[in-house]
Amino acid sequence: MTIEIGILSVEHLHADAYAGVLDDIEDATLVGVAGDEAHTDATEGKAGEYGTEAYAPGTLLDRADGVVVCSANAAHREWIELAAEAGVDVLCEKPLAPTVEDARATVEACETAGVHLGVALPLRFSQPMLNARDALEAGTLGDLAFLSGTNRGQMPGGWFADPDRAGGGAVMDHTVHVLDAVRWLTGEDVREVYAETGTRFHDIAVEDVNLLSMELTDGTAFTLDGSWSKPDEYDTWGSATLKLVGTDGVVEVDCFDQTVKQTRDTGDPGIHSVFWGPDPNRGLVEDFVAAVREDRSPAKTGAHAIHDIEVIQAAYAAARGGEPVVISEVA
Amino acid sequence: MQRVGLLGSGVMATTHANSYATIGDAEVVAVASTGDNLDEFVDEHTPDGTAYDDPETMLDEADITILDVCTPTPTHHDYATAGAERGLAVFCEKPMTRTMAEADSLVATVEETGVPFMVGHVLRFFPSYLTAKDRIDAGELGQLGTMRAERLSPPPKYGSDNWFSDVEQSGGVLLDMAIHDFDYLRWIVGDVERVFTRSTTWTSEEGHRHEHAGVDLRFADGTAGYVEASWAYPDQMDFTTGFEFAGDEGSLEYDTRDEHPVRFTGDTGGEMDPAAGAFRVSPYTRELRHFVECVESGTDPAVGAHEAREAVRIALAAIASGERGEPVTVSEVTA
Repeated sequence: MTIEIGILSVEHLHADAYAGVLDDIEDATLVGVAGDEAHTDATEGKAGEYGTEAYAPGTLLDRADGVVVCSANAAHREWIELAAEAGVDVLCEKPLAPTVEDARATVEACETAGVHLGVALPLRFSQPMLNARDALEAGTLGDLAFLSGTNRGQMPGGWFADPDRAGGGAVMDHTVHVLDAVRWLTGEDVREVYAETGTRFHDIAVEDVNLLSMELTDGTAFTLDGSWSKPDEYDTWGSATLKLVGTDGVVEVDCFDQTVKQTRDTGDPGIHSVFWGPDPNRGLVEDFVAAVREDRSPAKTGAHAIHDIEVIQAAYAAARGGEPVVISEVA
Repeated sequence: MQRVGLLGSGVMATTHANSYATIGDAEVVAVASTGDNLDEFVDEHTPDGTAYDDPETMLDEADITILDVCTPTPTHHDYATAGAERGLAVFCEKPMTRTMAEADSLVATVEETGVPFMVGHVLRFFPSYLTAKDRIDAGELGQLGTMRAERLSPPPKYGSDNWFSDVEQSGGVLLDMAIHDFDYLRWIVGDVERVFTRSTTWTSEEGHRHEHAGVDLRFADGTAGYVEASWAYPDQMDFTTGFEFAGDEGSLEYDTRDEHPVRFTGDTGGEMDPAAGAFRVSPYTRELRHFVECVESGTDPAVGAHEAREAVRIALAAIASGERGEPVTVSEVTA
């Protein structure tokens, strides 16, 4: 049986990637896309691009076995609640919601409706990250002593820089990928967050500097640079890295270092790094499809993601107060 | 011609001795060290130099014009002060001092005596680091937003009596290693307002201090920085450094892990590894040549006592932040 997946809202550029994977894998298909009335043209345009149909949300939810929510952050809750009411499993683009309150509400709505809620955090399926996990589990690193990550990117613009629709800037957008990877690798949560933020690169209403310094619940230090600091002309979108310093060894992971260097004189001129490594989004979508098929939770659940939002909000509180913030004192 | 009295017979003294051997206007005429390897050191690196097993004796008896201090950190203040008070030009390895009180004292001595004085913040003589500064100074990055620097290595196991592992002496990885990057970043964007540090330390069975630290910095102009320094890597690791600057008009990145001007496959048979760096002139030689030229010409050296004190202040603030678990305002570090 082919699992039929719909995409609810195509406002997030990752919708393109998920549509591409759904087109590629054999046991699932993209059944259609839907958007809100304000974005009808965009939704229909993407439907054409993906070779699928644009439907009214209710119609798509009737046809789909599962949906991927790719809206602006602030609209996640509304779309998830709509899917939950229709009894359809959901994979939501990260972050789950801009506020802890909204994140909790989405989880409760899905629990009440008896549907599964997952969050799109593909680094759990990044092969270099999986190698690091194997090294950690094999004891190759000894005791874990320090974690240092980066997740820099270009400023995405559009609704990402709109405080009302995104809920924030680089802290909101580029904290959770590596944060989730660390929580998944270590089984620990974040106890305390310190943040240096600011708007230094672009004339926008949200922060583009995102330097975090955290401590995990077992006391391990974890620093993260998730700034929108990559120039518009950079050779790729950005990067995701994680350094795991152990008492017996160090593993340094660069999730998107498998590239070919391309230089073009025509078309899109300049130097580009073209990623050829195993696609983490494929693992992500395959996991969601399997979860829908098997009536189980996706790898990253909405419930697990609530803490990610707590960390983001603690980072904002730390940036405002100029002091480290303990998570339990915020939530 | 400058006559150099070299203090120390360890790794940095070796580096400096080899550099002086290529500098026409200077020669090492005396070496003082309390280390057991003194005679061996002199035979190998400074065959024309007189060996002294007591630094004070060298200062009293040797006919020298420059004192070059390459001894462990906690001795810097007293030796540099002794040299300056004798009217010698003084070159001191980084960090200038172990404490702010010592730094203040040495700054005052240097000002009172007026001797040429410089501290070995050698990044200012690395062509890679200079190239980045030139581009930034030319405005090619626009307004800086974030800066990152890394300095990663295994624990230093070559110090006499394992002094690097004694934090009371070395200050650990932040005062001994990260201070290079603190000075370099401050040189580029100016004073640091506050720092916040996470660090982890442990001691190996052999008694070596392992430490990995990450420091967030907020500069007075609003730029945010991150400096990561490690003495926690396994011994197999090659010393690694890197930097990244991002501004509103572009970025610069450098990482020694990506730098392979020469690759060598084979057995060196004890000869020099052809892939071990491709500098025409070592940055340490550039640094010492600059100092010798300043002494000869009477001009001010690039990294004076005041600049070096500010680097110590940032490092001590970073250490204090790690200990206290809270951000530390750099200007408040006075002890």
